[in-house]
Amino acid sequence: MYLPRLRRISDVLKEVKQVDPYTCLNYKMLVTLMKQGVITPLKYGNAWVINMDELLLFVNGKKEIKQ
Amino acid sequence: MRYLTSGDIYRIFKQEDSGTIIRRNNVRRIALQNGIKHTISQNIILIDSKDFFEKVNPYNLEVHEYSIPKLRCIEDCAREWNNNRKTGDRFIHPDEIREFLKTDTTVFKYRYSNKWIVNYSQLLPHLKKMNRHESKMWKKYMQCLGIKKSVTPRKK
Repeated sequence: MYLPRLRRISDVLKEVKQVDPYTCLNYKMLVTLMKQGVITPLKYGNAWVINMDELLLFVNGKKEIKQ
Repeated sequence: MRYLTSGDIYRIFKQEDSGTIIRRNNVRRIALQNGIKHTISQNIILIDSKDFFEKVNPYNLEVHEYSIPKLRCIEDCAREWNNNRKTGDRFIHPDEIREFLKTDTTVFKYRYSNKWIVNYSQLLPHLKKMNRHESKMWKKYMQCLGIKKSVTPRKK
């Protein structure tokens, strides 16, 4: 059974910057992607929760966007 | 429609993914805040597992993705190529990359405010092809300045 890899935005940025320290990805961009509905927006309290697989599929151009 | 406790959901996630942020209180909060079907019986929150997984994975993904690409804006793509090019490779101007991206559909690009964010890992093979040909832009620029130096890349 597929289970999404859920992370907070800060954890996502830490993981991405470990691999690519000069990445353009930042907090505001991820929040913008969620507000536009490109990535599933999930929130608990004030923290946004991201599915890493969804984000990486989108950024690699493999994900279709639901409109 | 199968009801699970927050502890059950937490244990399922922990088995698959050790770095998950899912905990029992998070599951309850996510269920309450995101309109997931649940019932409360004797101080226990029972969450509809089908609804929970649908809300958490609405795109019905089935595969994990682990490759983290390099994301750059167009100027940074040109800068990275120019700083890391090998001897014999020519400089590439950001306008050449912009011209290329106007017609290309294979490289991922996303407009964020006034900049384009590009997947540099997908763009790199195209830059290597671009490198083999002379640039009309640089040639024109050199002619305007009166420089007669050749802009063709050195043959290896």
